Amino acid sequence: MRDVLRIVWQAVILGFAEMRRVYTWKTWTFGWLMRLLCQVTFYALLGSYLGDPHLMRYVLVGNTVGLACLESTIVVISLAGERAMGTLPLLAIAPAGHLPVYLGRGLQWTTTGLISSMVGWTVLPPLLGVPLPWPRAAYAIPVIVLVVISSYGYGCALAGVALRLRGVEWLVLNVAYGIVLTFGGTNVPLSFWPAPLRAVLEFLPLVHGLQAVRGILDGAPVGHVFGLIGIEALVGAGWYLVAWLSMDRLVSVGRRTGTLDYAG
Amino acid sequence: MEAAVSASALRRTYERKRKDAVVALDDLTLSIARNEIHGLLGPNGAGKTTLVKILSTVLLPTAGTARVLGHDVVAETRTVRTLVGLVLGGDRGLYDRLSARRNLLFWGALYKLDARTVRRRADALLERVGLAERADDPVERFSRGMRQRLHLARGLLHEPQVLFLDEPTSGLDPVAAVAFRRLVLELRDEGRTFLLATHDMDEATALCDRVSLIDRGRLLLTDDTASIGRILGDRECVDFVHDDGTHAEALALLPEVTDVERLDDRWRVHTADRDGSRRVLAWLVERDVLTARHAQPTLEEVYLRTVGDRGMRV
Repeated sequence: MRDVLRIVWQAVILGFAEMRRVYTWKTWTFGWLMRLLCQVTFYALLGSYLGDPHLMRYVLVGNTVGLACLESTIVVISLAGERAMGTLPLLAIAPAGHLPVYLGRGLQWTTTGLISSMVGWTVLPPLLGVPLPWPRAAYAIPVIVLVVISSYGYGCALAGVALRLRGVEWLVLNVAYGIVLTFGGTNVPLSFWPAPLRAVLEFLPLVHGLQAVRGILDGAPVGHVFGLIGIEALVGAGWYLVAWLSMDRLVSVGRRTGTLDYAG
Repeated sequence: MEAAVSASALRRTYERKRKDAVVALDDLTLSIARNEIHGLLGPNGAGKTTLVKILSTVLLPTAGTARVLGHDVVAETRTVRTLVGLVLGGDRGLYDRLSARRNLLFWGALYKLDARTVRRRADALLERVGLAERADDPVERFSRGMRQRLHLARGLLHEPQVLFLDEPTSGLDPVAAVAFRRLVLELRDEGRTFLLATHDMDEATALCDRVSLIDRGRLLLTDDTASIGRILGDRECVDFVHDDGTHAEALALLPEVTDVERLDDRWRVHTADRDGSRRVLAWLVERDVLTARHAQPTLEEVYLRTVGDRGMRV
């Protein structure tokens, strides 16, 4: 276990070092974070434009929690980079195995995702005139953390696709979080979608976590909320399992077919 | 003594959709002694990298067996991985955003080295490969030669007994290449075994105890580097430099001379035997051609004659 944690820690250091290539704290705060907050504000104001304050809060909460999912899935890009850097075969033959690396490789995005979501959670509602019911809003924060964790597993699983099909990482990323944010209940209630699609949505991260967050804010029964939290955790665990199997298979098939290239 | 590396009837094919499979290694049998630097020479696509990949467990063979220090690379993968180090050439295989030290700490964790050990070894290796003063600089600021030395340090971190070097000096300037070779020789003197896949004949000549020539996945020959010229037969040669061809024409008429050929920068006189070479040398010295020397075919000539003009083709 200690070996795994040390590898994850080294991968986290690497992840943050790579993140610093893209952002300084200033460009992240005044560029990326502002962009996300503007995006959430835009959708919230659409709700307001429709003349329904409940809808505005619905969209605001959905998109704010959605930020946690959106940024966590950027792990797809970080993991796909291993092939481009030629480190994939070296990771594959390392005695500790390659899987712990993937676990820590994109954790920087979970950190920024959580920060983005928390800033949105605390700043935007009062700014837009739809304050959240505190302290209940505080109880929802651990659920947002859970959404971050389950979404990261989802991103890791989809990174397996990006590692197999070269050059599609940005497509995979955008489709991955696009699907969740479009159909997962951020702007439109799940009940809007046809039943077969709703059945599929049950397996996406964010979906149940977001329902739990809404339940907490609306004072729903504790048992109902915990049920939703449990399902979100199960969905997340499922995605981690898929990621683990997918990555392991990537390497075992790669050894057999010769696709674990040094080059990108 | 058991070989450090052995391959027996090793075969690797790559399946292709709607096309015939590509044979990358074709019944290759090879043995490398402990403490040997063994060169693997061949044109692009000859199978050098495929062999290195199989031996380092990155790739599975289609048939045949390969062993490292007696351990089967397929059946005992985990053991083999702790015994071998893989050193890639070029820019890939390092994390550019991390410092040299951080790269080593990262890979040390993946080799299950405890924190104290990996720090100690990282410091010692960075010192050894001449990167101590740049240890905390991001790798993206490193020159090609510095990257290559860091590759070697990474490959040595877990103190492997066998190292596979895949084109380790490609793109290095001559000074950096010489420094790198010196380091490899030092490491060999400490008891390590090397398999060096390279295109570079000078490198192979300078470093390798023995070389193997492969082409189209087949082993063409294996011999001591120093005496590989014998492969082309027991021909005696005398090389000399001269501006015009008058001496060459005169030499061609001597009974002991079998052939005279123009090489890039010199003339080569082939003689029937050692006495013939002696007489040709004397003949040239009498005419003030002091550049004359007794010669044997070089590794490069052996390579060119054995592999032919395939070097430009893949």
